[in-house]
Order: sequence, then C-alpha cells, then structure tokens
Amino acid sequence: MTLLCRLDDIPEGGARGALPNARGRDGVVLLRRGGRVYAYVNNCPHYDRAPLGWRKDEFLNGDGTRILCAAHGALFRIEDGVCEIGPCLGQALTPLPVRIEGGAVFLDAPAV
Amino acid sequence: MRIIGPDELIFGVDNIEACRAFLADYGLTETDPDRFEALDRTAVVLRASDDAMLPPPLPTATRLRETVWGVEDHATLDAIAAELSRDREVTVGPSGRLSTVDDAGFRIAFQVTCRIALNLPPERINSPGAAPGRAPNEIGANEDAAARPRTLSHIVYFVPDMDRMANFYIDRLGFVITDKFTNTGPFLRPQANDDHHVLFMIQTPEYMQGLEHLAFHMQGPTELMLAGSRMVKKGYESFWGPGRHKFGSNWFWYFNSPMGTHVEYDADMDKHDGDWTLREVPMSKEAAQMFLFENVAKWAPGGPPPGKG
Repeated sequence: MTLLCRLDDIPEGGARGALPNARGRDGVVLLRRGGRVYAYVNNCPHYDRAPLGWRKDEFLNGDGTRILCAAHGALFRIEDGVCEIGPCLGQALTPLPVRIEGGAVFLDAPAV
Repeated sequence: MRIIGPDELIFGVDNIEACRAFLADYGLTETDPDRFEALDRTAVVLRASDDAMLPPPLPTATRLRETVWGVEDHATLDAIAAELSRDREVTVGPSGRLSTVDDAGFRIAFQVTCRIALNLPPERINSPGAAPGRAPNEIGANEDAAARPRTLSHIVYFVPDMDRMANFYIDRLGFVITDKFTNTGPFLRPQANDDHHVLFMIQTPEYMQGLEHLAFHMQGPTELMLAGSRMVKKGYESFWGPGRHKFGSNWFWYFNSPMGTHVEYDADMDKHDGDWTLREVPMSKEAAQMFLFENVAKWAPGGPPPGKG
C-alpha cells in the first residue's frame, strides 16, 4: 500500500492530485464524494501522455459534477470514469483501488 | 481576400473564474470585462456557456463558440460577404462584423481587424561571426521581463473532413497551403499574412470536432521559456514542450487550459511568400518537432560532494 494523502486533504465534492513523479507531476487523481474516494490514473485515454488537469489539484468542470480533461474538454463521470463527451467518447479513465485507514488514503495496488 | 488572421476567439465556459485566472497568468491583459488581449489587441473572449448572445455550441466537447477573423479593409469584408452569401446566410452585426459558418460547421466571423501595429524589439542575441545583437553591458537574461503575448498567432481545429474544410478556406477565402501532414491536415496562410500558418487542422472523427489549440506569438524563444516557466511555477499543467517544430520552425510550449483546449506560446515562426513550394510528409513524432525538452526543477552546480567540503 502507498500513502496518497490525508482524507482531509481532499475537500468533500472536490479533487486532488497525488503520487507525484520525480518531476513533481501527479500520477493519480483523487475525488471525494459522500464519504467515498475515487481514484484514477491522471491521464486522458486520448493520448499516452495527457495529464487531465490544468493546474495543481484542478480537475473538475464548473459545477464539480464531472472530471474535465483540460486538453480538449472531455468530461468523465466521477463514479466510474466513463467519458460522456470528448475525444475519448465511450472510453474510461483507468480506475485505481484505494483504501481509507486512520484518516489517510492509500493506494491499494502497486504504485503507478 | 485580404484576410490577416484570427483577431478574436470567443468561448462559452462553465468555469469562468478559472478561465480568467488562466488567461491573466498566461500573460494576456483584461481590457474589457472578460476580454483578454495581447499587445496588438487580438484577444480571447470569455462568456458564460448559457449566455444567450453566444452563437450555439457544437454538439462536441469544445467550448469555442466563434472564431473572428481580422481583414485589412471594408472592401475585403464586402468581398467576403458577396462570396459567402452565395450559399449560406451571412449576417451583419452592429459593428459591421460578418457572421456565418464554415463548411465544417464552425461559427466564423469577419471584421476590419482590431490589430494595432506593433513596433517592438525582437529577441536580440550575440552570435560569433555576426554583428552583436546587444550593446556592450546590455544583459540578455532578464528575469523581470514582462513576457506578454504579442499577437494571436494561429488556431488548430479538429475537423471531420480536412479536405472539405481546407478547400473552403482555400477556394472561398483565398488561403494557401504552406505545408501538409499527409492524412492529418494542411497548414494554411491567408493572403494578408506571411506567417507560415494561422490555421492548421487535424482530421478526426465527427465527435471530436473542436478547437485543438490556440497560440500567441512571443518575442522569441527566451521569452517563450520565461513565460512557460512562470506557468509551471504557478502550478499549471505543461502538455508539450518547450521544443521547436519543423513545419513553421516555431518554438512551442503547450499548456492545458480550463477552456478545455491547449494554449500554446510560440516564437520565431517562418514567413513565406508566393515563391514557396509546399512540403508534405506523413505525421510522425520525428516530423512533429526538431527537438523536445521538458521543464525540470532548478539546480545549481557546486564544489565537492555533499558533506565532503
């Protein structure tokens, strides 16, 4: 298990990047909704090197209901990562298993 | 057709605060509410996505609502109106701006350009064997330079039929192809602009149609890297670059943006005239750039290994 962040670091209804690589770029996107934390690889299915956000921890559309790809505007459902509109229509973000223990969020898989 | 280039790009967004912050940090100046200008007054304009004054959105993810082209004079506007009215509705706005639609369905408009003539120094370099670019004691590395985008350089569309799209701009509006990526799309230059391209397109499925990126010209490669480094330092997401393209020769650095499109800094693009013969190659990693770098954390050399001093 890999520690990603404290649960309190992710605002309810908000998003946060985690697991930065050597160059400081976050490998994982975390989203917190109603006590659940959803995690996805921080890359749009459109390209193999396309981080989703436009700024550190900024991953959501205006009303916070979808994950926005800031490359070409694709929108993904938070609950299952499915792309509803955009270049990767019908594809999905790669989900990652997470575990919440003692107020901390862990990646429950080999590090990505 | 004396078309100069894109004057203005109008977006309909649901996250206008984030877009405002991005465009200001990118280096544009908010002159009217939600109008972000480069030094020559070309601009990105933000509107709420439900603004009734906006042209309708495409049925895709793109937030771009309208591309406004600047032309040299009223005679050009009249010629465009006459040409395009033959097979589509062209409406005239209160300021004389023509609005219509291109053959891919993008909303386009034309106006006598809002651009003002710039008279600014280029990036000046010292090169052995050539006359010095800077006077003695004039410093090249100015970390405090404003690094303001000078002018809206070019736009790139995802289009479902690149040939139909290109032919519209060529046959109806007088653009010429400077270079072409086979099976991807052509680089286009209008008659009143000698830049390598103001318009490029990438062939995609219909559901992808939209704006791939927009770019503003910077003073030169140093200013481009200064501006890009500042964006990285503020936490913005670099997408591609810095590097130097082959076709067009422009230095590039692309960022993700909250408008849901890439936004590029470019510098030092080639210029062409009617004597140029177009080049065509397949799109590839090799063809897309001469070289590619990536921003890394700053570092400094020292003396002995740590702890051995």
